[in-house]
Amino acid sequence: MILEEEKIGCSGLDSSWESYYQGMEKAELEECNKAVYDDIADCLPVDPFGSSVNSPVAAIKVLLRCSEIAIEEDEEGNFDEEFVLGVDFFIDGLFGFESELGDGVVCDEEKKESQGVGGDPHDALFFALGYLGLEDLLSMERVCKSFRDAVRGDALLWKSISIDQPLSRKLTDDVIIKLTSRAQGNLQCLNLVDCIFITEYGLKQVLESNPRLTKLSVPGCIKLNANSILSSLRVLKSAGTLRIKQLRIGGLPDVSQKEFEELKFLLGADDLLRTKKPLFHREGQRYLSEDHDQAIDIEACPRCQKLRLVYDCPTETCQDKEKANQPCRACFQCVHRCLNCGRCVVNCVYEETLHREYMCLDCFKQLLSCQEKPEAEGASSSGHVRCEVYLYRE
Amino acid sequence: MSITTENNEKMITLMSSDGEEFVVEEAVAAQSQTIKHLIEDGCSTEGSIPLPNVTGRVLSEVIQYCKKHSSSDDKEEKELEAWDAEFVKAADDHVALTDLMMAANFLDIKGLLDLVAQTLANMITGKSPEEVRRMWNIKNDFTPEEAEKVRKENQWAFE
Repeated sequence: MILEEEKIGCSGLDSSWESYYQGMEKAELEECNKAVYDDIADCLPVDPFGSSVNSPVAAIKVLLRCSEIAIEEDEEGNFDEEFVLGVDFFIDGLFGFESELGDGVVCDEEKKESQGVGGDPHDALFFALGYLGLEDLLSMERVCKSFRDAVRGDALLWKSISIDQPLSRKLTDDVIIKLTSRAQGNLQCLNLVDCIFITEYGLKQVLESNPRLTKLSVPGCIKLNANSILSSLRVLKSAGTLRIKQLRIGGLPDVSQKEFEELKFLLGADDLLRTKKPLFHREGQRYLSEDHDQAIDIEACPRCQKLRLVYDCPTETCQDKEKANQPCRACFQCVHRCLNCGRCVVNCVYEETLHREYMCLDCFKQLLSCQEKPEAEGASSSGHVRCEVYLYRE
Repeated sequence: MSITTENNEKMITLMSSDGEEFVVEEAVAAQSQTIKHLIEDGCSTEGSIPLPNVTGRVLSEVIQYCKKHSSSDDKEEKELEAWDAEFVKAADDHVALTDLMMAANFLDIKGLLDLVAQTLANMITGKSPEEVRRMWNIKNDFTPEEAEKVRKENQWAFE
């Protein structure tokens, strides 16, 4: 309906509008010509709606009003003003112009939007801040002053900081020092996954100004090593402010037995037997999370004896056996695992990806079927990308 | 006023800000810490408990939540989760959710507070500052200089 109306009255404004005419019904053309004479200005009443016709868009709108009157007038001669406003709105949207008719309701609302008129944020929204991740918290700071102050001023929001990809690849020492300072010394849990730019300097600063920290997790932060962590911990220990009880250093350069023993000693953790949850080499679960309650995540690999993350196998055949004897329980170098489900690829058919990662046949089949018929599976485009990520991850 | 039903369950009358009265079992009302304390202080013995911050429309939803959660035990955790999801979905327009949030806060119902706050957070997640402003009709009250300052400080995360 609206599109039809838009076509009417466009002719004569500009030759480029003539294409709109093609395909119009003859009756429509006649209807249109009633309103459009040789020159637009001639056919216009003297600004009947108090608008000044000084742009093509305004002209179209006035013409629309004329044709509307012709078409929509009922017996009493009334016409639907709301409908005309609706068309105005449509045209404004179409051309992306601020309306030049200052008296329309819709126009006023649009102006409000562009000038940022609105109110203070609802109190209820502040409760949601505690449930947002870092990226969204930082985004909220840019919404308005009260959110900025709330996010920065509330130390409780920063009691536990967790930074994972994609932000982890952008995180620098300066930034983490600033962010952790927002906790005002109340930082209890710091989780930095794959933060490749964090150095010993940054970590030391953070640890020294946050003596209440109990959980430190830096898996995959490749600029750190056991020695740099030890030296920070030693300083805290000698100052009597070492409260860290949980340390995650999986994926850091190799740790020596001596360093491992000292770490255990500093954390006060002698019994490192894995008791609770198994660890699988899966997407998003490569590192030991907080749910696992052991003090240090690494342990001696049963095969190579190196101190690394030791993965379990999710397959039933491997799990049936006593845990300690699980034949494929080992670090990622000793036993290859499917990068999707985490099972060992020792006694099964598997595919090797371009990046020397492995995928068991079941997961590979699933991936193929997912790629072949994304619509049939009801998978969204993001699901599709995720499938590809598995194969071509960097 | 406290009435006792056949199953010996004590009933409590709650009155919303707009004068609507709701008669509920004490166990249901006591899901709210605020009401629980009022009952303990003996405020419920005479007449109804007035809740000046909660309208009847919101209160009826809150009671619906409390009823469900006082009648379910831990075994039905999964079912309860699904019920919660449906519950917030039904209230899924901004006004209803913010009202519910404020009521949960005033009445001090931890589960409902978590549920609604998480729902609001999910709505915010992934949105740009402009989208959040538009969604909740929030005024951008930064001067250009202030906006630039905040932008610079968080630039590391968004470039």
